[in-house]
Amino acid sequence: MAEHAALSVLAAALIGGAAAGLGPPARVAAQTPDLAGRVAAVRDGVARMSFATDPDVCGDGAGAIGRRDGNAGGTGFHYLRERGTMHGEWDDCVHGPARVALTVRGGRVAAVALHVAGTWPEAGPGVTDLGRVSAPAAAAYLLRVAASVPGERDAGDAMAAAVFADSAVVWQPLEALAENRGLSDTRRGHAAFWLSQTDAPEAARALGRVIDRAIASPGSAGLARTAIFALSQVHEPGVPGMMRHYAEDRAAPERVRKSAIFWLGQSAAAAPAELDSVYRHLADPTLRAQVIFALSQRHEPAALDALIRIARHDPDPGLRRKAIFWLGQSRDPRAADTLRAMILGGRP
Amino acid sequence: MRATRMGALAIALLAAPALAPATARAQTPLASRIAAAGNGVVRMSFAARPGVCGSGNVIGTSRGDGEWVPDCDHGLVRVALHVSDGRVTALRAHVNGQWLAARAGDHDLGLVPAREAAEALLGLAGAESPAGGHLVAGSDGVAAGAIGAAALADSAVVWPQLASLARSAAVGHRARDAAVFWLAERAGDRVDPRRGGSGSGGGRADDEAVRNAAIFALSQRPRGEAVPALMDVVRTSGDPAVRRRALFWLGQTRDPRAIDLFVRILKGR
Repeated sequence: MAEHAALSVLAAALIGGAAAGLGPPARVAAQTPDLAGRVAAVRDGVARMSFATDPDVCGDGAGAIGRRDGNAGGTGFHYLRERGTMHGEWDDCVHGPARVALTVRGGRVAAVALHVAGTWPEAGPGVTDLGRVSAPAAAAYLLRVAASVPGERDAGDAMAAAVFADSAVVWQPLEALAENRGLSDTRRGHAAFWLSQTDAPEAARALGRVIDRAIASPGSAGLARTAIFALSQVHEPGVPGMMRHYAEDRAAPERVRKSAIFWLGQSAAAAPAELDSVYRHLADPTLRAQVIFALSQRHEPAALDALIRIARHDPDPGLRRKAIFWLGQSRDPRAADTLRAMILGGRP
Repeated sequence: MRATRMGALAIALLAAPALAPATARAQTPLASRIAAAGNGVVRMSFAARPGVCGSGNVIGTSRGDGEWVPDCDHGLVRVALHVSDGRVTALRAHVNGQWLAARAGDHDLGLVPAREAAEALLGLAGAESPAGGHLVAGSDGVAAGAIGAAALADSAVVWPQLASLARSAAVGHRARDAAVFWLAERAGDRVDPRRGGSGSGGGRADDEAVRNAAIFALSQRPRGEAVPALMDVVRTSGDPAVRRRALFWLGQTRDPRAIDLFVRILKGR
């Protein structure tokens, strides 16, 4: 639950945010001339459209958007965008169509507003309602908009709308956006995040490619870290192994490796023993300290066992002190016994 | 490291400006002289305990560890009390250095006996009202500062009054915290007179740092666990430095069981 809350905040952070960019692949563009033409025809005003969303997507009709939780029998949801008055139960979050309002200036999209469920307010002057449109066609069009709209937040909303569209396959254009060096790292990070939310079996490998190229590109560590977070949100069996690979990748910048360790620690699919194994394979004290922190955030007995071993036996006193600090913060009563024994037992 | 922390704590405790009460007691001659001075700044100087030193605005209570001494000098404790209508509105304590020339209307009582100074300052911290010529602390912070200054006095046995203030519901929380802090310090002096020397642990700096980290970590456990565990360390450890460190963190808990332990140690039980 805490994880979901954290993810929601991160998602909101990723969506929030300004840059111009290049267009998506030609294949996508070819699918959407009609919708693009209808929006451009508005010239100056607001173009409204609505389209079907994935059955697990819900919203409050305003800013909040959620997705049904795979856990707890699918009776709950987690926020994907903003926070609203919905309270965790699926029934509180209304499944409905995506409603997208595009502000058009000079025939170009200047802003994007996304809602799920709810109804449109009465249309005033300058508002053109394009009505219900094909979800895949809308998704393809909105991913073009995501590359060209000036604002980063608007770009994120366009990507989110595309991901929520029913029956749309969007992982390839999202990967292309994430790889597009003509876009800001913020927007590329949005693309990586929304790629992780596609449920496409190819998402993890696509994100791996984004991370690999970011690691190989000087100055792209920030994007690599965002993409690692995105990868951590993909629920595929191979993801913990990929995270471990990046944690141990000596070619990667330290902060990228630290991100991989952190998100590996946050993954329920990665056992504490996996973290402990990473610790043993690493030599760098800074990275080892990050593993200690990651272990401290786990509440399984095996995580405490690893911390106790480090506290008692690691040859590096600095790392022992870090493990000891986290033992002091642990809820496990064994921690106090260990600390007392270390204090009273001669050599700690 | 210890000197820095202790120094910072000392500064916090000595820096003056809640209202404090405690048991009324007869005025000492020095307290009477202070009270009789009337409004203005009243200065006095007295001998500091061994181990107390001053440098600039920093007051330290460490004597070094056998290979290092703090970069400040032992000297007199200098206390300035700002008195207004029977209330001490501010209190500044320094160690070492020189007084600047007094301004008109200020009173310099000169060098006074340290024990009397400590008694007067603790009386000030615990006094409830200015009735009967008693000076009272104008705020909880002043009371805390008075306690800290009293704790620096040479040859003064202040722990019984500190224990009384530490247990008193009538004094403000800053004054009570100061009393507990200095009570813990005194208990630490009793179990570890050498101060900072490593005992049975073998003396390796790394081991000592790890052990100190463990004591701190233990102090961060929920109070129900931390206090008994730290008390157990104080009772059973063979290393005086470990016992002192545990006493320090026990003092930070402000737990009544810890205060009882300090008193037992200071009574030699």
